[in-house]
Amino acid sequence: MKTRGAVYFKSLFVGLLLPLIFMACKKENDNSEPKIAVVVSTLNNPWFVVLAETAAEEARKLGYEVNIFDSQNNTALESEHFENAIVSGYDAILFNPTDADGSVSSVARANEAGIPVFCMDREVNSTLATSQVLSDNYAGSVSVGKYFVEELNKKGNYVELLGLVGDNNTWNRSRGFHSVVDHYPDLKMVAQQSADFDRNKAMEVMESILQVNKDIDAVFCGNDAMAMGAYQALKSAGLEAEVKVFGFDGAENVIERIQKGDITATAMQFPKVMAKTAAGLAHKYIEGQREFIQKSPVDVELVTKDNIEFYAAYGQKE
Amino acid sequence: MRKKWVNIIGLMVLLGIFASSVSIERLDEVKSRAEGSSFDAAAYAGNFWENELLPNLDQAVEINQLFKGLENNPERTFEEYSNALGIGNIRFFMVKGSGTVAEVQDNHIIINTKSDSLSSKTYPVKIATEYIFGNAVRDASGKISLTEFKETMDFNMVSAEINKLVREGVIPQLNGRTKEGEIIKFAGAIEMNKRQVDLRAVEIIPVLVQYNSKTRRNE
Repeated sequence: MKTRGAVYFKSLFVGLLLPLIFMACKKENDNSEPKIAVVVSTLNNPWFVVLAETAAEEARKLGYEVNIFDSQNNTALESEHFENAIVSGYDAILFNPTDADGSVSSVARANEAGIPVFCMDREVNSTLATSQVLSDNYAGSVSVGKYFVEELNKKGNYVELLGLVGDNNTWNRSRGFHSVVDHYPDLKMVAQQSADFDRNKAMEVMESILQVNKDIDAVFCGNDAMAMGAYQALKSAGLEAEVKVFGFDGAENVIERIQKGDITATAMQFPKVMAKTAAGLAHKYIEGQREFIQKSPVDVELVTKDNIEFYAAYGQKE
Repeated sequence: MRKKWVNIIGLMVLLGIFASSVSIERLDEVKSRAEGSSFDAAAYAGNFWENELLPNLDQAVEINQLFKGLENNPERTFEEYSNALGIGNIRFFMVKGSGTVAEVQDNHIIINTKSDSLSSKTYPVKIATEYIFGNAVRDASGKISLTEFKETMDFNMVSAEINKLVREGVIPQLNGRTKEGEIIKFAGAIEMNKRQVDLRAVEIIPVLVQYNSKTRRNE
C-alpha cells in the first residue's frame, strides 16, 4: 500500500507538477531581458576594446542585457565562453574570433544550439556564422601599398611585420599590399616576420632585424600596435627620421603620430561601424529576420598627412 | 694533419646536405600556395570585360555632368551615379568624356575636358597610366556582386585581373604615344570618398581610350 502510494505520488509529480515547474521557469525566462554575448579576441589592444564596448553599448541601446567575454587570443578560452553563452541562454553572440579556422568549432556549437553568431572584423572560415561584418582589409592595404610605392619613389629596402599567422586579416593585408608593391622590382623586402599584432613583440622583432640590416627605407606593419613597436625600435636605433613606418587600423597613438609626421600612413578601419552593424543585425535576427548577407565588407580608408583632418582615433572626425 | 682535412671535408659535406635540405621561402608565398583556389579569376575578369563592361560603357555618366552634380547636389549625385559594395564612404563612378591632352606626366595624363551646355565650369582630369590598382573598375560598373563568390580572396583576385587587363590592354595605348594637344575620348572608373570630394584631384582608371585621328595623323 505504501509502495502504491509512492507510485501515485511519483506519477502526480511527473505528470502534473513537473510541467507546472517547467512552465513557471519558462515564463520566468520569457519575461527576462533578452541577452547578447560579446566575445572578443582580446581586450589587451585598445582597438578591440573600442570594438567590444561599442557592440555592447549598441546592443544595450536596442534593449539587451549584454556581457563582454575576453578570449585573450586563446581559442580554448574562447570555446569556454561559447559554452557559457550556450548554457546561459544568450539570444545572440557578437563575435570577434581569435582564429579563422580555430574558432569554427565554437561557431558550430552555437549554431547547433540555435544561437546566431555575427562576426565582427575578423572572419571565420565557415558559412555557419549568421553573418560576418568585416573590414575590407585587402582593399585597404592596396591603398596603403600604392601610397607606399609613391612615398618610396618605387625603390628601396623594406620590412614587413605580419600579424597572427592564423588570422585571415593578416594575409588579406599582406596580399593587398604585395599586389601593389611586387610590381616594383626595385622595392626589395629584406625581412618578413610575424609579430602577432603585438607592440612589444614588434619592437623586439624590429630590433633583431636592425641588428642584421640597418639599410632599411620603410616598414609595413599589419596593424598600428606593431607600427608603434617598430617606430619605437627605430627611434632607439636613431633611424626614425630615415625609415618610413606604415600601419593599419587607425589607432589613437598612430593618428597622433601621423599628425606629428612620425608615422607616414595607416589604413583607417571603422570598428564602431562594424560593431553597430553587427549589433543591428543580431537585433533583426531576434526580431525574426532570417535572411542575411553572408559577408558585408566595411570600407577601409587611407590616412596620411594630407587628409588627417578628416579622421579621429578609430574612425572619422564627427 | 690528415685527420684535420677529413674533419673539414666531413663538415663541408654535412653543410652541403643541410643546405640542400633547407629552403627559405616567403611566408606569404607559402600561405598562398597552401590555400590554392580553383577559381579562375582571369577567365572571370575576361568575361566581365568583354560581356559586361565594354558593352555598357555608353551608360557611364559624362564627366562634366558628374562634376556639376557633385558641386550642386553631391548627395543625390552619389546616390544616382555611384556604386559600391562596402559599407562606408568609398564610392565608384563609371565616367566618360573627351578633351585635350594638357600634359603628359610620369604617372598620369592630364586632360582638359570639353565644356558642354550642362556645365560652364570644367576641371582637368588625370588619367592614370602607372598606378592601376584597387577596385574602381570592378565596383564602378555595379555588375559584380560579392555574393557570387564563395571566397573573399577570389573576389579580390577579380579586381587584380581586371587591373591587369587595363595595364596590358589600355595603358600601352597611352604610355609613350600620347602628345600634348591631342584630342582624346575616354571612359573609365573613378574612386571617390564621399566625405573628401576634391574635383581637382579626380583620377580615372581608363577602360577605353580613343584618339581623334586628325590630331594623331602626324604620328
